[in-house]
Amino acid sequence: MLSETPVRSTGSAAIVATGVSKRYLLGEREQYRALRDVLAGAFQRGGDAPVRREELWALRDLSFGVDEGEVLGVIGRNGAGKSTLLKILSRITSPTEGEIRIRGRIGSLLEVGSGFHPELTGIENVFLNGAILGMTRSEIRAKLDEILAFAEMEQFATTPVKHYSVGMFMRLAFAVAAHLESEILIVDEVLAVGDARFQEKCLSKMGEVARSGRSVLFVSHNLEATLSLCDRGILLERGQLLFDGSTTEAVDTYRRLAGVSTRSGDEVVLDDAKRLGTGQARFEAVTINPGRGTGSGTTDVDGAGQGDTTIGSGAPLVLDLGVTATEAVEVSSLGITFSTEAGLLLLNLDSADGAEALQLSPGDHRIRLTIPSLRLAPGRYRMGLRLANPVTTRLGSGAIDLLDPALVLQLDAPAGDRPASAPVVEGPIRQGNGSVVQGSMTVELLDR
Amino acid sequence: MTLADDAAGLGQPIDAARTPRSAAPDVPTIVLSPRRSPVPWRELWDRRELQGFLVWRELKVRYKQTAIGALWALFQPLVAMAIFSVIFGRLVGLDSGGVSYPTFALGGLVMWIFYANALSQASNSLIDNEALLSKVYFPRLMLPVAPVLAGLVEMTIGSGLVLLVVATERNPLSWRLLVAPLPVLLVVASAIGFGLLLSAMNVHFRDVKYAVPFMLQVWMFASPVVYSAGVIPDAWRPLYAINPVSTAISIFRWSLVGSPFPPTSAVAVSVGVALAVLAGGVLVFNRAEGTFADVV
Repeated sequence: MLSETPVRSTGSAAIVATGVSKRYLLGEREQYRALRDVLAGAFQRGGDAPVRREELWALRDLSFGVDEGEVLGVIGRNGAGKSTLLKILSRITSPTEGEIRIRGRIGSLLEVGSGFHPELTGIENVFLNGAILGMTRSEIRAKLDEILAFAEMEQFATTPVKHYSVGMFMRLAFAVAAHLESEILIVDEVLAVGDARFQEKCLSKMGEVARSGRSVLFVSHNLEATLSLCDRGILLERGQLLFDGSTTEAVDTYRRLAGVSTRSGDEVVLDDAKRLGTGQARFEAVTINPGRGTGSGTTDVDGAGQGDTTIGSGAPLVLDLGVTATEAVEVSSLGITFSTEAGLLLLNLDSADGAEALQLSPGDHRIRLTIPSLRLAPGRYRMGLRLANPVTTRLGSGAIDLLDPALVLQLDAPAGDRPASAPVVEGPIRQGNGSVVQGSMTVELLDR
Repeated sequence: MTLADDAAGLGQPIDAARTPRSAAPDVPTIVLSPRRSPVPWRELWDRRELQGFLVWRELKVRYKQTAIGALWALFQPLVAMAIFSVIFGRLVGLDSGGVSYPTFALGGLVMWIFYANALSQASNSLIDNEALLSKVYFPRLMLPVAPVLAGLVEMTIGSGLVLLVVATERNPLSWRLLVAPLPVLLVVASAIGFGLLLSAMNVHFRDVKYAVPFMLQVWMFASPVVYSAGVIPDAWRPLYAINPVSTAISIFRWSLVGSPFPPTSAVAVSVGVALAVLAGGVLVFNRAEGTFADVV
């Protein structure tokens, strides 16, 4: 494979990756070897084959290039290999196979603040961190004021960073990394840190960098940002290159991928989810928008065993819930919550507000829950599910069954929904014209 | 897999408004591959400022929030000198070759304490900086080297103390002092060499962390810290010199207080061993470097 792939002339290419693969041996990260194990192994090795550990190919035979001055978007689902690719490009780890040629200094905005020392002051850490990232002392000195100003940190510059709040720490760390001048820059969008206002500042700085004529690799879950910043896109799926071409096509392919490869309307089995409650009845499975075709409502269970589900923002959300009761139980409250991925609760809908109590006999049941229009902004949300009645609430166990998160819901911008006048920054709750949830949630028992 | 698309995509015209920051002709090309890469001397040189910053961090952090600060660098050898003088000088009555036992001991202690601290800090440097290793790239070789170089600063302070003691005892300071940096180079070379080896091993085997303090205890008695190297029979000196620290301390003492100079054969053996350990340490470390982030 390696020899067959023609290596492009490096005349104008900033990065040329050829047949790059990365293998992890499972368990390798957690376990270090104790000398004892190696010695024991040495004595046991009586011609036995070495123990085969399970392998995971985080990247498989990946080839792509980045031209000088080009902004390349890297998209893919969680576990697709984006982080591994970034780690290899930023030289933290080396590929297992293949080769990457990089022309020019490479700077990565991956993990900010890892070089910070709590005992050192803000300014001291700026110098130290800058040097670790590859800046020279004179470069840092020239940019010091700019960095402190960007971080809004002037009056704390001589305070040891151990006295900083988390937000201050992250702001300073981002500011240092963002002022790194290198021919090639690797940017991870999750880097946008701090409060909403500073995140906006981070994102606009990233946009500025992307437009500055440097070669940039931009990694993001945010398809909108990718579309607006990148010249070209590559799509990774299970460690392989699925698409390489225009950003629009890459994003379209990504959206289709979520629909095609993941069996629309399939059940998400909830046996892995952590749950609380009395267990008189349990959520067993969820089907999102049952009976819908591809595209609008899709579900998939990703590698982590956690449901990852994509629907359009503002669209109706219909859930068919498989519930098994071990005894006859009355459910007066069926709740559904939406939280940010960081766990901030945004929305709690409860059938106790209006709907009649459900009488569940021992056995399997299907409950249909309908939210007429869920107007959360596009993004990823944790969805929690809850069964309760006044008895369990009074007994202090809180719920019959409580799963949070039951699955992760990906809300996409519905096609044609984004007018040119879309707000630059959007909070999770979409006001639009009306309330977040239009109409009221309904719950019905589908049993015969 | 659409490898063909790859080439097609690259052919796309770049937005005309963007002016590619054309890389200067001397922009280096880095090749990332699974193959073992040679020791990155050029890069180490280019980023020497970072080594300076890492050393500076070591020193800065070491005495933060201490009341007497760098005076601790004097405290350790002074206390050890007092104890050794009572036990080995007075009670045991070891021969210190013409100079007073405290002066004799202090010369050895300053160098030994430098070596022991440098080696134990260097061997833990990678696991102590795990966050850096797994998140940012920089030449990893600089991490174990930093505490060794930082220790040199403390040793310089300690050496000043020795000179003070020597001068107050009205021992003549002589031209031999000019030679003192050479044995220092010898211990630095072996501290860096062993430090690189041990730190790389430490990533895989945490046993190293526990073995090093014990090893250093034994090592101290294999070095002429409390006794004079003169007690070793001449025939055994080349063997004794396999420990480069033994020769370094002997020469150091010779330059400070005029103790006997070690035999040429011993010097040759020690210098050879130190250089071999340094070279071996660099090569082994460089080879192991690729896996640090995956294992640490």
